[in-house]
Parts: sequence; C-alpha cells; structure tokens
Amino acid sequence: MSANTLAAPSPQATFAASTRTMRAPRSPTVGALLALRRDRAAQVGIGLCVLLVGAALFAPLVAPFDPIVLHIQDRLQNPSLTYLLGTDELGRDVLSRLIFGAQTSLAVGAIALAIAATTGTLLGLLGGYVGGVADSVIMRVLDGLLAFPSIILALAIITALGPGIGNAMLAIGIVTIPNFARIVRASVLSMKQKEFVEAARASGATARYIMLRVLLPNCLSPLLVQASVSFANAILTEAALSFLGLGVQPPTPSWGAMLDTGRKYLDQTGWYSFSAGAAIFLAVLSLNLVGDGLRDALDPRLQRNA
Amino acid sequence: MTSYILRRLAQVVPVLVLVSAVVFFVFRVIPGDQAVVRLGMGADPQSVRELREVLGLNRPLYIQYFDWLAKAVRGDLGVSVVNKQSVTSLVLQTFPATLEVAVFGVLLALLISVPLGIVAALWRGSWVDHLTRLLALVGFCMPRYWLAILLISVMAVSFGLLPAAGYADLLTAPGDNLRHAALPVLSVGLTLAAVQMRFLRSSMLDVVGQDFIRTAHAKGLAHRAVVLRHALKNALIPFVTAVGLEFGGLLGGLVVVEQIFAWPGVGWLMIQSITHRDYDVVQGAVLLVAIGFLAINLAVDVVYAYLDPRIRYA
Repeated sequence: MSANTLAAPSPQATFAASTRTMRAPRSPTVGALLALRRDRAAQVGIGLCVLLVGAALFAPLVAPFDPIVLHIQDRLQNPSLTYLLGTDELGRDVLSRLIFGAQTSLAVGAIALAIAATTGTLLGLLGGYVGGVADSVIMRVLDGLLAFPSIILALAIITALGPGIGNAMLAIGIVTIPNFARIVRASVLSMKQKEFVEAARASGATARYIMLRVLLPNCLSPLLVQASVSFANAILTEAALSFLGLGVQPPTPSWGAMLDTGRKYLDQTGWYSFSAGAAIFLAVLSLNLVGDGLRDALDPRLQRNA
Repeated sequence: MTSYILRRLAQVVPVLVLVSAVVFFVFRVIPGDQAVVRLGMGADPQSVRELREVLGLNRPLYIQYFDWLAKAVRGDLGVSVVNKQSVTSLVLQTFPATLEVAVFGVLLALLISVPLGIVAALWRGSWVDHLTRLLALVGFCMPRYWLAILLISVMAVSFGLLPAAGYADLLTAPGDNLRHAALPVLSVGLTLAAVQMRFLRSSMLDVVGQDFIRTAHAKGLAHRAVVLRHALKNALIPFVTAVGLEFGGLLGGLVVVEQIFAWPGVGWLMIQSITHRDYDVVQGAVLLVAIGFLAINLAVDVVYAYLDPRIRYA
C-alpha cells in the first residue's frame, strides 16, 4: 500500500477534487481554439496568413519601391541588395510588385468569397429548411452550376462580361456558390428535426428567425473550414485568369500576370516567374494549413478535452 | 443495375437542359450587337439589319434559345468567324489532345499515389508517412501552372532535355508526340498524385477505424494482410470515384497548362477563340466540355454503384 492511501485526505483536498469533477464542460469554441494552439502546422499557416495580410494592408510602407515606377536601365536583373527579388521586364522591383500583388489577390479572394458565402449560405438555408419546390429549384440551379468544371464556367462568365478585376471577382464568386450552398443545406437537413429547432418552432419563432438565429450558428464550423479552402481556390483561380490575361489588367500588379510575363524571360532570369509562383504557392499553402487545422480542431470526434 | 442506370440517365436530362440554358444565356450577356461585332464598327446600317435578320437576333430571346437548342441537338453549334469551320468539328478535333494529357496524367498520378498511399497507411506515423504527407501537401498547394513553368525552366531551358512547347500528331509521329507531351503530363500527374495520395491515405485511415478491421486483427491476421486485403479494397471504392471526378475535371482544368505548352487541346482553343472574339467557338467548347464532364460523372456513378451495391438500393 502506498503512503498516499494511508494518509487521511485533508478537507481542502476533498473540496478541490470535487470542484475538479464538477467543473462545467469547456465550451466547444474554447476547445477548438486550444486544439488549434497545439497544431503546429496550423500555426505555421496562421503565421503565413498574418504575414500576407500584413503585407497587403501596409504595402505602401513595406514595399521598398513604387510597384509601377520603371527603372528601364535595370531590367530583368537577378536578386541583388537593391532589388531583393530582382526586377521585371520594365525594371520594376519584383518584391514590391509581389507585395502590392498580395492586395489584389486578397481583395479578389475576399470579395469572391463574400459573394459565394452569403449567396450560398442563404440558398442552403432556404433549400434545407423550407424544402419543397424552393429546394428543388435551388438544387437544380446548383446542379446546373456544378455541371461545369469551375474554371470553364469562370471563363465563360468572363468572356461574357469582359476581362477585369471586378468581373473576375464576380465570376469566381458565382462558381463557388454551390460549395457553400451544399454544405449548409446538408447541415440544415441533419438538424431540422432536432429538439432545439422543434423548441424554437413551438415557442413561435418565425422561419426567418429559425434560419438565421437557430440554424445558421450551428452551421458555422463546416462553413469556416469551407471558407478557408474556398479562399485558397479563389486565389488560385484569380491567378489563373490573370495569367490568361482575363483577370486583373496591367499595370495593376497581379501574381498570375507576373507569372505569365516572367515565363517569357525564363532564358534571361528564372527569378521573376519563380517568385511570383512562390507567392501564389505560399498563400494557398497557408490557407490550406489553416483549413486543415480548423477541420481537425472543430471535429468533435477529434477533441480530446471536450 | 439496369434500373439504376436508367434512373441516373433520367436525372441527367434536366441537367443537360439547364446546362444548355446557362451556356446560351451567359453568352447573350456579351455587350454590343453581335451583328455589328461581326461586320466591324464601320458597317452600314442596311447590312447590319440584314445580318441581324439572318442571325435571328431580332426575335425574342426564348425563341432564339429554342432555335439554338434545336440546332445544337443536331450537332450544329454555328460556324467559327475566324476560319469558317463548323464549331462542332473544330472542338471535336481538339478533344484527343486534351484526352491524351488527361489520360497519361491520371495514369502517372496513380502510379505514384497508390503505392505511396498504401505505404503511408501501412507505416502510419513513421518517417515514410511524414515524408509522403509533406510531399502531398506541397503538391496539393502547388499551382499546376507554376509547376509547369518550373519544369520548363529546368528540363527545357537549363538542360534542354525536352521541348518547352509544341505538339506533334500522336498517330503519324508518336515519338515526337510523347516528347512534347512529357512536360504537360508531368505537371498534371505530379499535382494530381498529391491530391490522390491525400485522399487515399485518409480513406484508408477511415476504413482502418471500422469494426471489421478490428475483427480481422482479432482473428489473428497479419497487419499487412489486414491493410492490403481488407482495408485497401474498401478504401479504393471512394478513391475510384474521386479519381473519376478528377479526370472529368481535367477536361476543362487543362486550360492553363495547354496554354503554357501551346498544346492544341480544348482549353487552348477556348483561349484562342476568346482572344479572337470568336464567341460561337467559345460557347460550343463550353457546352461540349460540360457534356463530356457530365458523361464522365455519370460513368463514375455507375462504376461506383457497381462496386458498392449499397448505392444501387439506396
């Protein structure tokens, strides 16, 4: 027998033990945040995201040069102490253009995401909760959108509306709507018959109140994961459209357009297209790391201390 | 099985109608009078009016749609303004080139992803698992067009091993064709392998957590036998579906890769036609890609139902 069991427990110890067992269960949000803090990959992702957003927000302060000022005598240089990532075909500083390009990428991504998330969520809530004809119509429209490979539909919309940053945002947003609508609809369908929705209905809540105040907050975890992944995809698609000359128009710096121009000078300097591609890669990587981390952190099955 | 296929076919018809409507109306949004666009800005009003008559542009939009649909069903998608060829034959001519890269790309990806996915699941938590996961993450986040440019810069510009761009006919000059196809196929295959590896590993781990795997372990089977014979078989069912859907997505997903390698597939044709404002060709290409995409998805569903009887009776 150990010494522990022999000694009579002090009253304080008993009290401490009982409060420990009676402690209220930790809220899922706190659990998720703690899980995210333990996830090293997610932290790398969050760090990169902060860096990216910081670069975009403070671009004029951080960038060593004006992104559209030409230094013709210094064109297509390799990295040096003056131009940390070299210069482009007109002698503009590549690093400064990448930093300002972050503004473009994030702006297009964020607005496309806002269009897709609000429209998709509303359609999903309506279809899932109201059901019937509304649901059938919404689902058929989504089927119609999903019948195209997404870049093809984006290209078709851009062809119709004309190239440009605004139309790129709209096209990417429209193409992304089904991702959100389907996720929200699926979670609404799984919750619709649960007691808490029943209770809200019995207490006289309107359909609008139930959809926005009761059901929507409970769809947030899958929505959050989808948002980070869709943001990454939006950045990829924007870069692809700009690469094809259909997105952001010059002289506005855009990673995709820089990658396209850079590849024409591969025999003179590989750095130009390399750094533009690396910027896209890092942005997509960081958002996917955050998405993966959120998915694990928000999955109740994986939460150890729930 | 037959009734399942018939049911799925019946579901495809309304989607096809919807797709045609989306394609038709999206392209009606194009600003400007198409008759003026075709004749040029300085055209005299008389000939513009005549062309509008010929093109049916002065009739109600829904009549124009049904007219277009009736022609499309018979394979008439209009004529290219650039080279006066029929849109259908123009698009169909480019399909083999796209299919070639898609097929070889998927095959290459499978050659890489299946063994690595199995190894990662077999030795879960080992350095092999960590390394494959890292590679998969990098490949998953790597933009396919960036990989393509990196490959050109190393294999074509630095070492001169492979051509940077271009195309040769597969039937008349197979060797030349394969040399030109190598880099496009690599850039598709490597990125796809990463996606597949992630998918296979996670579906393997899903299966490994199930009761029948515990039973297999409990009756004394070796770990390797459990993974290869019991887990893999079940993990492959969703995997086949995922690979099939990726293949369908490649029909359109090759746009940028084809553009980089000047590979004359459907995506390349679309971009060329957008540049030349040859809208009927873009419209026809979008429609045919969507139909191909739907057909492949349907085939994938049928294969899935064949592999997993639970789907058929759901």
